[in-house]
Amino acid sequence: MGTSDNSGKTTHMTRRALLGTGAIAGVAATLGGPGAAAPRAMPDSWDEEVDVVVIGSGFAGLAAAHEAQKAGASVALLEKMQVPGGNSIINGGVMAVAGSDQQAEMGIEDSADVMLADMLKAGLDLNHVALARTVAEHSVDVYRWTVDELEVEYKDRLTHMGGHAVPRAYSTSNGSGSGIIVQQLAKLKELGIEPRTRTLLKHIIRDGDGRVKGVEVREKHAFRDPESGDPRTIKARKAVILATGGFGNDPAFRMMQDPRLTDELDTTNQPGATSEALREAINIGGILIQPSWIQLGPWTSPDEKGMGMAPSFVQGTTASYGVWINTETGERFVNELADRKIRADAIIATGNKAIAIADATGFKYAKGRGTKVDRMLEAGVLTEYATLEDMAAAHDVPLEPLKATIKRFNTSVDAGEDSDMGRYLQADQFKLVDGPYYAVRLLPKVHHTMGGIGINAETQALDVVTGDPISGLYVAGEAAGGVHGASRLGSCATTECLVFGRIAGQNAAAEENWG
Amino acid sequence: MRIIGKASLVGVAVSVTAMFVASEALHSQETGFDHSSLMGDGPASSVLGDCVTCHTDASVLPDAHVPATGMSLTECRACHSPETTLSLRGTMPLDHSHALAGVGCASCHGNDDAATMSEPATQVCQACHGSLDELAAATADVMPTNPHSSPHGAPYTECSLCHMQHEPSQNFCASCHDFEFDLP
Ligand SMILES: Cc1cc2nc3c(=O)[nH]c(=O)nc-3n(C[C@H](O)[C@H](O)[C@H](O)COP(=O)(O)OP(=O)(O)OC[C@H]3O[C@@H](n4cnc5c(N)ncnc54)[C@H](O)[C@@H]3O)c2cc1C
Ligand code: HEM
Ligand code: HEM
Repeated sequence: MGTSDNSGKTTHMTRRALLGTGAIAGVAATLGGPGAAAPRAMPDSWDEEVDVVVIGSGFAGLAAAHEAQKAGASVALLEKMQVPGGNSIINGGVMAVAGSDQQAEMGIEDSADVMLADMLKAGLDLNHVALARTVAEHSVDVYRWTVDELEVEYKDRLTHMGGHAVPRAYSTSNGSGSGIIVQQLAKLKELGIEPRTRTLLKHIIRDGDGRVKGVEVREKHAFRDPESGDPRTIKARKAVILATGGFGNDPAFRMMQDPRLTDELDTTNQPGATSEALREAINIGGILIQPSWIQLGPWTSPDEKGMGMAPSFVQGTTASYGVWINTETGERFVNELADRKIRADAIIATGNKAIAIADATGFKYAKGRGTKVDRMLEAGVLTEYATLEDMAAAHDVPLEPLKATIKRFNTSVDAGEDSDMGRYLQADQFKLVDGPYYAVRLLPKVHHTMGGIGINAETQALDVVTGDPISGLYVAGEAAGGVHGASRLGSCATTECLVFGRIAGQNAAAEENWG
Repeated sequence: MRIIGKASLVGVAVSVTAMFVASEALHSQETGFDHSSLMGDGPASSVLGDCVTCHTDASVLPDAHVPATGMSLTECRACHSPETTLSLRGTMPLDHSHALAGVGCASCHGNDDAATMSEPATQVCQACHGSLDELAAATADVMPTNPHSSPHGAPYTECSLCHMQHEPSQNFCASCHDFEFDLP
């Protein structure tokens, strides 16, 4: 039997029982063995046929499925884990919007251009500008879409995230990305689509004519066993959309991109944030771009697992209303509102000897905004000290320099300008004067992977040989590279994933059927 | 019937002193028993009180234990009150507790035919155990946090993420948190 493969040549196929049953024709024999890099051949027949196959059930995948279905396409929505939502459902629910009504009400001047400038600055100008611009320019309408179409509820108060020129971040009412995901899932259900969980994308099928024509999946897949599940082929008459997220929880792949990020490093990501879908996209000729830019979160603590509770206090309170201290010098070591890369690098430069502190007023402020400070105290993530002296002793901080640091900070607050670090001072900035003092130890954890498959602003995946779009393949969300360059600004991913997910869904539905 | 009280999901009769030994044996046990024989006529519960029918190569109950054959979950609980240290929470698979309470294969799977069975939806569990809100209320004071109500919403309360029927239950939350739970 001869079947054309991706290279356009004819390859002789053999059926192999171990590779599955039924419609799967087999695999081109290669020196590397059946698992090694080689595109999967077209099957003799398909087990199932739809217009658009969406892989991944985070912000991007659900938005893509939503738009594709609304445009009249039939959709298969696949998710390898037992639960939908990926990193999106555990995300902090913070979303950047430039030029919102809320900003206007608060008298904050902002625009897509200012947001773009912030993204490029944090990204060290490595961002693919057309992609970053698309995010900034669509931020207002994607926000409106979440309100009008999805009925997502947000808090009234905007947050000022690190690296942003102005407060522009909305927060979901429940303080979690689940506030958006649960609404996306509910609306999709009304449209007749439910994610098929425990369904792993194994192969993207790209025909000899260069077009992507379907996928091979594993149903009833058990995440802990990569080879598990029953094989099934799904024909995608119009397109396949890869919305499979990042690879923050894949130490092996991570280390190939940045050997320092070993499996000893913790991560904030869900267990399924692994690379196999990206590898498959590379395997069929997608180009991987900027994969070494991996973001560490600067607000995590060694005293708990994963993301945990620390970030809400460290970022939400100490970065605006407290200070971060190098415990060896007693001095501040970074602008606490700088972007994540600068801050994480700065913490690492202290030898991870850094604490984030607030005083009694800061603690009250944190409580007021719903931070779970009591649970943090109980869990030992946050510690309380009656006096500055006690805190210094507990963390081995030289007392006099620490006192001098706090004094300088307070003088800065009076002067309305941060002389040490040039930090943006809040309208209601208060001085650090009242005990008890509170501290969180800082230790960066792997948080976001900026690299991914190269795409254009229409979310078409780009071919590694020609640089042109791969017909029939779209990539959206964290799986795509280039939007954020060297470092993603907080709150920009939610916006990005929803914006590009929608674009991918609309474009996929508009494709001509290939057969 | 709604079952969300503390006294819901646990209990099988073993003697007081030998309980811990016995439960350890249960967990590590390969019964070698062909479960398909339970699928045919009659409810699985008809044999379950009679442990040796299935656990042929090990004595599950200590020698001094009162005869358990034919006992229902309620009868087991006469001694093994879930409120006490005698509670057998986590010591046997939940399918056993269910079967002892008269909830056999078909009650959840809709039929007794292993070939066509599939995983029951969460709604099947809720028919007896109540709505998510009721569940969340029942475990509102559980430390370190309420397992049935989290910031992650309803998708993270699908029962089978944590409560397994035919294998030991697992703490799904622990894939990202250091929450320690004592799971039925
Ligand atoms: C703890 C945390 C908090 C965050 N907070 C914020 C925030 O407040 N604001 C913000 O802007 N950004 C935040 N981020 C970043 C942001 O949440 C992510 O970048 C975003 O959710 C990615 O969305 P996505 O749709 O691209 O991927 P995901 O939401 O990760 O979804 C991808 C899905 O694809 C599935 N998948 C992967 N491979 C396969 C395969 N082979 N077959 C089938 N399925 C597969 C995965 O299991 C996953 O469910 C946060 C990230 C984390 C980890
Ligand atoms: C049903 C099981 C779970 C429960 C009951 C639960 C509960 C909670 C609670 C109560 C919080 C708020 C902080 C706290 O009080 O500790 C929280 C936050 C968080 N959880 Fe979970 N969780 C569960 C599963 C998971 C899983 C499996 C993941 C990872 C995939 C996860 C990731 C997170 C993250 C990242 C946060 C911080 C979110 C933020 O505020 O930015 N959780 N969880
Ligand atoms: C709708 C699905 C579910 C049902 C029907 C269900 C049912 C129950 C019931 C009846 C109890 C005993 C309650 C009591 O002691 O009063 C219980 C306890 C418990 N469940 Fe669930 N559950 C579900 C989902 C989950 C999930 C997803 C998790 C994991 C995140 C979980 C974790 C726990 C834990 C940890 C306890 C013990 C609480 C304690 O210490 O008392 N449950 N569950």
